[in-house]
Amino acid sequence: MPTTDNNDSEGNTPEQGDQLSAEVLEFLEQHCEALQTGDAISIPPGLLEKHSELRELVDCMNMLESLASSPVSDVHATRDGSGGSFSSSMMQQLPREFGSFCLEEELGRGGMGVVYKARHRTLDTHYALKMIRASEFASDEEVRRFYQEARAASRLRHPNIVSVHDAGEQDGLPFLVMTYIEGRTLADHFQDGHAKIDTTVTHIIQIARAVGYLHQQGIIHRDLKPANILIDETQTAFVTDFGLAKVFEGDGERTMSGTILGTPAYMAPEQAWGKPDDISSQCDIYSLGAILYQLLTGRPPYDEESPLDQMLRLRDSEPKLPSKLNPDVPSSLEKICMRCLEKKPENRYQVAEEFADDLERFQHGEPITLQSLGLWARLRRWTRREPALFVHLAAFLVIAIIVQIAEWSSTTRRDSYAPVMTILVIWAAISFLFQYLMTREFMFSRRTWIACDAALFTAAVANAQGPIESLVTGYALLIVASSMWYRPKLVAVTTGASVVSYSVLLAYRGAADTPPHYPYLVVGLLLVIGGIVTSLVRRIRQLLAVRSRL
Amino acid sequence: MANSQDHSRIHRLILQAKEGDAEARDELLECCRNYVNVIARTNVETWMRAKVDASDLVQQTMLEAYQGFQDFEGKTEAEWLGWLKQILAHNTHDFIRKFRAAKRDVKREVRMQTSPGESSPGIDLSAQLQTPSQFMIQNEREIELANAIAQLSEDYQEVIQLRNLQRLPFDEVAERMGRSRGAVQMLWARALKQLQETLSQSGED
Repeated sequence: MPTTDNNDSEGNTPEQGDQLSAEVLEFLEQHCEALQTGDAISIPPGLLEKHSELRELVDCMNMLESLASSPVSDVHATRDGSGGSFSSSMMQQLPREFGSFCLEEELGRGGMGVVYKARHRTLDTHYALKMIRASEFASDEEVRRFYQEARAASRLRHPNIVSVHDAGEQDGLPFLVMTYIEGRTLADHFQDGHAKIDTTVTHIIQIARAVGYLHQQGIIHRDLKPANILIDETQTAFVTDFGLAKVFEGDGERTMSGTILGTPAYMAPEQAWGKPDDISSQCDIYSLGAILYQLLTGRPPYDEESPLDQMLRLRDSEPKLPSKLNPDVPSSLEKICMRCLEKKPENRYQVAEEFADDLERFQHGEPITLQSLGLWARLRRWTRREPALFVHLAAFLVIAIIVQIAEWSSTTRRDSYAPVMTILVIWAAISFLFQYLMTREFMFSRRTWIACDAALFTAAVANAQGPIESLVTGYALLIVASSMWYRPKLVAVTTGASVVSYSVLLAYRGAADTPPHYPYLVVGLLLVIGGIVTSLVRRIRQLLAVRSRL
Repeated sequence: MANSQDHSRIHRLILQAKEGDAEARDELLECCRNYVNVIARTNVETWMRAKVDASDLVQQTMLEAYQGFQDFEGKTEAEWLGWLKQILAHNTHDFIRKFRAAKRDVKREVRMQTSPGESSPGIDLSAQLQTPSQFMIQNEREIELANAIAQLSEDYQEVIQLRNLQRLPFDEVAERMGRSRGAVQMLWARALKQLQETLSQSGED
């Protein structure tokens, strides 16, 4: 699919000829990763022979790393070990002492927190220790809510929820002590390849039961995603990081952290787009469905390149059916999954337990209880899944009805009737074809579709009766309609196609009785419309970019 | 060797400036501006976890270095850069505080100012920096590197800043730059290559 608006463009065109090869890139990435976690890996000799510049690149990266580790704070941090002031917890070396714990390695970073693997020095047991990242600069209110959430979390007892054991403050840093789970996150888990469907279902049932328990306790997770789910060696799934998203929600913090909005891949539409008030336990149900979808198909429901396009698609289109991406997915499982991904919260499962129950029935080969949605909801879903086709067909229907009424009301048989109707039928057939091509992600299918639209519209008008100037508004409609893809270049292409088609139309039909400069005015108007729509689309994208990046 | 030449250049500038040569002092400060800028941005953005305009911070630091130059007592590059970083650290602290001032209340401020781990501005740097000759060369090269980074296009600077200096994983870099992970990785590789070329060119001059 042509990503017309990819901003990786002119400013830094790839240097032809000396493009870095994939293996060099891979090595550089590994090296960078290793460097930052504290080990060094050497360049494989074979690779170095082929790419002599590699040594210099690695030197360059090592220097960057030494520049990165030279920040001002290090002077103080290494001195007293705790570094209560400017030296942030994240700028310090590991392992290091932290109260009665020894922080051994960094397990991960969330929106506002860092999680360490920590050993309790007296008990000699490992825990996961979480801290607010920017604690010195967190307000008292934020710290208060961190503890409040810790208190709520410490009361939770569920076999699939990571327990909170302790909370406190050390060197001015509030921290939380949780069970350390030896294992990997679900995100790491499926990077190895396709998960088996029955293991996937088992995991999701465990997670759904845990989420149901959270909901009963009045806690909405809000940030369920594969990275927040741990799988231990016995294949038990654990929900972690619960409630912490909630701590920092609802004030200026969300604009600072950047990760709360972040990638909307697992976020319900009302959460990604709506106000914080719209967030209910239904958001978690959506996220569960999105995780299931990811595990079944190997990609999130909307896997558009940029978070921006994800947001747009999340709003007004439907994910592909999982069975189209992975033929092994049984239809009842697909139904369960898609029900969680409904746009409207009330159309999803009402409680997580129902979802888990249905998955269990599926597992045992029993019929699922899912009530089918009403005809209207199904129609709405279809129009969202194939919006372009729907708009075309709706337009054809309206035109056909009008032409038909005109035919009935006129006393004589009109010459234009048959050709116009034929063109409409052909056009409808072609629309189905393009819809098919688009779902198959053929190159330039949108542009070709638009160009075809312009051509067929011209053909229809060329066959119409009498003065046709008033029908030229159809071109303006085409331009405006093309903006629904939110792609500035596509609008530009449509404008161009419309102007060309209009010129062809004029050449074919001529413009009797109109002053000679009128066609130029029409072309001018079309160009202006195209310009305005293009800039509107740009503006929408910029606004969204600001919203999703800040 | 470019290093040793440059090395002696900064060293010479320090000595001249200390003898009261105003031109040497200005030149010395100017050639460290990119260095201060890179470190300031790395620190502030790592802290704030967002893109922050740190130019005021750099300006303030350079100004204080300029005004307080007679207080600088060292001779070596390491001492000089350490001194600059010290001013920067002090200002960074204020900068972030101001940034978050609206969120903080008085109680918190009092606690922060009296917390035992608080850095005292007059920290003795010589104890930390043993200044072996290798260390000096490294300091020199960091200045060169900062200058090379400043020559990159904005996109390249951004990706190097986020991935290498702020050490964010690619997923987060992609998010911050509003691009796909793949696009960011390619951008990063090209930026690194460009940086290395800029560095080796400046070494040849």
